[in-house]
Amino acid sequence: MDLTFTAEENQFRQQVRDWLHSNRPSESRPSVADLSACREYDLAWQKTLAESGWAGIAWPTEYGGRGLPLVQQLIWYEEYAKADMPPGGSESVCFVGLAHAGPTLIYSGSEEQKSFHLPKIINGDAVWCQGFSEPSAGSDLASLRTKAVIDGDDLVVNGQKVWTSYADVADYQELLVRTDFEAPKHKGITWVICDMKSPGITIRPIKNMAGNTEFCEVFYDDVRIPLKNIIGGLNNGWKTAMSTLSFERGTAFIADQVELEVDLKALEQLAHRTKFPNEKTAISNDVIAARLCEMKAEVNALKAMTYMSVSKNMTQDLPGPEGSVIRLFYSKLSQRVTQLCMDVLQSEGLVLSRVPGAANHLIEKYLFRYSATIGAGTEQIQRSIIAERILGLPKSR
Amino acid sequence: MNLLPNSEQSEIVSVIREFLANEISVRRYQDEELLGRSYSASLWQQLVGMGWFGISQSESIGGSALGLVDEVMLAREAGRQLVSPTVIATTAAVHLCTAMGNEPLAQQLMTGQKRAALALAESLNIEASTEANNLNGEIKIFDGENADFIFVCDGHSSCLIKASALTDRQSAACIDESIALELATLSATSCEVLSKESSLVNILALLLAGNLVGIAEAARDQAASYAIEREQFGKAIGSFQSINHMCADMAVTAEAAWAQLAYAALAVTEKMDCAELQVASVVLLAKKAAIDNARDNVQIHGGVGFTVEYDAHLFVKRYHVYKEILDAFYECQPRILSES
Ligand SMILES: Cc1cc2nc3c(=O)[nH]c(=O)nc-3n(C[C@H](O)[C@H](O)[C@H](O)COP(=O)(O)OP(=O)(O)OC[C@H]3O[C@@H](n4cnc5c(N)ncnc54)[C@H](O)[C@@H]3O)c2cc1C
Repeated sequence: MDLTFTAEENQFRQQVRDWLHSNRPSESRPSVADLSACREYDLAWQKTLAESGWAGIAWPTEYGGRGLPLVQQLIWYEEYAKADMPPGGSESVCFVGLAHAGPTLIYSGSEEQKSFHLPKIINGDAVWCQGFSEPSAGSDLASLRTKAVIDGDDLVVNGQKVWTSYADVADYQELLVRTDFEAPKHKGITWVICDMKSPGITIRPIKNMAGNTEFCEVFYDDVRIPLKNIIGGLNNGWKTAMSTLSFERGTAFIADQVELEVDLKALEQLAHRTKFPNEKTAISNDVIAARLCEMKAEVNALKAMTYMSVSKNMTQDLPGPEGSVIRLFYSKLSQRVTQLCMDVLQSEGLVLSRVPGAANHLIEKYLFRYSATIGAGTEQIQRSIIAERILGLPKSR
Repeated sequence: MNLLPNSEQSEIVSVIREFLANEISVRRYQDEELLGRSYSASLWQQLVGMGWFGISQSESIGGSALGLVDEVMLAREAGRQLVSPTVIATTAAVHLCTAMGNEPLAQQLMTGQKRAALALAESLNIEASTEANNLNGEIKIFDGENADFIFVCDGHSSCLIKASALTDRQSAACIDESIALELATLSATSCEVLSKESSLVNILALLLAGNLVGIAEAARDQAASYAIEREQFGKAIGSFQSINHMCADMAVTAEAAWAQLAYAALAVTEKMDCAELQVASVVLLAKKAAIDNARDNVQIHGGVGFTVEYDAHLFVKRYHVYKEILDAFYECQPRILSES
């Protein structure tokens, strides 16, 4: 075991630093209230990254990636988080494509699917969304009912998805449909690439508690999808979906995990300069200091766990159930960090915006973090995965 | 960067794990005769035979030249089976002796001719007292019977003091009945070996944290296997979600502490700027992980967990011993919050 980066890795880090230093976009990302502007901004930024060779760092070279080990991707995220750049993690519209659709295609896609889609994802030519959840299939994903029947060379899809992040600005979707209603629930599912411009798709945005409308309901009315868009085989979609979720829980949030360290540093500085009743500043308050201290220790442990998981994932193609351990630890911790931030802000935390459209991003972040223990599998589902698949306990459902 | 144990490290750990499980499993304390005897001379010889106390020492003095991270991995295994804290003291004492160039004493400790016991001296200022040729005060000693030295650290200095400098030694019942506790008065004029190096403080803290991580892991494993085996209402209690999820939380808690332990040991080894911060982080997390998991383990065992016949209670009690030893010399908060 060691924490030393090789000379080559350090050189890579320096290159990343230098590049980021001189390429920070002059304009900041538009407000999420204007999603198409966000799409344009994120894609343009992705294109810039790709042109300079910073996209798909750990993806195979045949599809436009750099073919470097995952540790280089980690280094990129670390430097990126420190450099105050446009969102590089799950906030970006490119997230689904880069973090789990792409890896799913690399793992299970056909040659044709890979060579068509992967370069588009890397080069910022396509936005992906995830159509897994349905109104009556959330945690119990396998009970999904969106129906697809084969008609000639197509699947004809009818049904509804929900909570689809960025659906209304996406080009493609990871879509799970039921193709066999007779088979046991895990056996009749198919994972298919859906072109979001197909006729018959209706999208209705939903406003979330942070006041934004990133996620949507998606309705399918006789939507035709070519059979060649199926990934991993007809009725074999559960297996493919499990690999997508393994990437989602195992490697997708590395950027967010790394960012939390930067967030906490900012919070510590805020605590040093914010006036607190009967104390000099917030940090002089024993309770605030003790909470901050514990969170710093935990953020360090998060980094250690991230390093451990990167080390492990360099030796395997598909992340294992240990991804749920980090996901659970990260999601709970990230909520406590923003909660402490609210306590440091005191009544300033009530002032969402002084000028319309310019919300205090600390407050927005606090509100948004309520989703961390829901999306990508709720904290309860992560616990069940850990108990069953790591500790070998019986099913508790 | 690689935070996975390599094959040699995994091999060492599995050999040690098996040895400890067979020879001195925590189950041994079910034999009442053995209570108060977490130290035994025969065990000591076996540990010496395996090279336990020289794992990270250079080969020129008979060590194995492995790293501090290997040493804390052994500490974690020791923690799982509640091995005596005197193992921690002697390991730290070897570091102290080699750091101060006292190789003959280091070798005597490594070969089992001499042994050090951990001692807790709340208000001792080692540097000031040695300057005044007057090291005195109330002291608590753990498994110190027949030990040659006591190892004391005040957070700045670490030292070995001859056991003969203890007066009014008096046995007391320890909250952890597996440990022989003595209360005594220290009245020494000097230390046998003394160092003001902060690396020694880090090493002692890491060894204690390693033992606490072991406790957190052992409690997790014990809870999980009981949850699989024990049935109520016609099914395994592990299929009740409140128990199932408690076990999952124990796994997360233990994993975070273990990852941080490895990171901190490497940060110290590689003399990184953040080493202090990393060590303080694992101390804080390992204490919390040990007591949280030890408590949940008792709960998951129900009535059985509350008996002395079963070992769940011993994890709770040993936590308190290590926690108090740590708290007497090691403050986490200033170390963690100073770096901003
Ligand atoms: C911000 C955000 C973005 C999202 N983006 C997407 C997306 O892009 N694509 C997509 O497909 N989905 C997305 N989701 C949906 C997400 O995957 C689901 O919300 C999640 O799987 C939970 O499903 P549910 O909302 O139906 O809750 P439910 O499954 O109804 O759960 C309700 C509560 O019951 C608990 N519960 C359910 N089953 C069990 C059980 N067996 N044991 C114990 N407790 C249980 C849950 O933990 C939860 O607390 C997103 C969600 C959020 C919040």
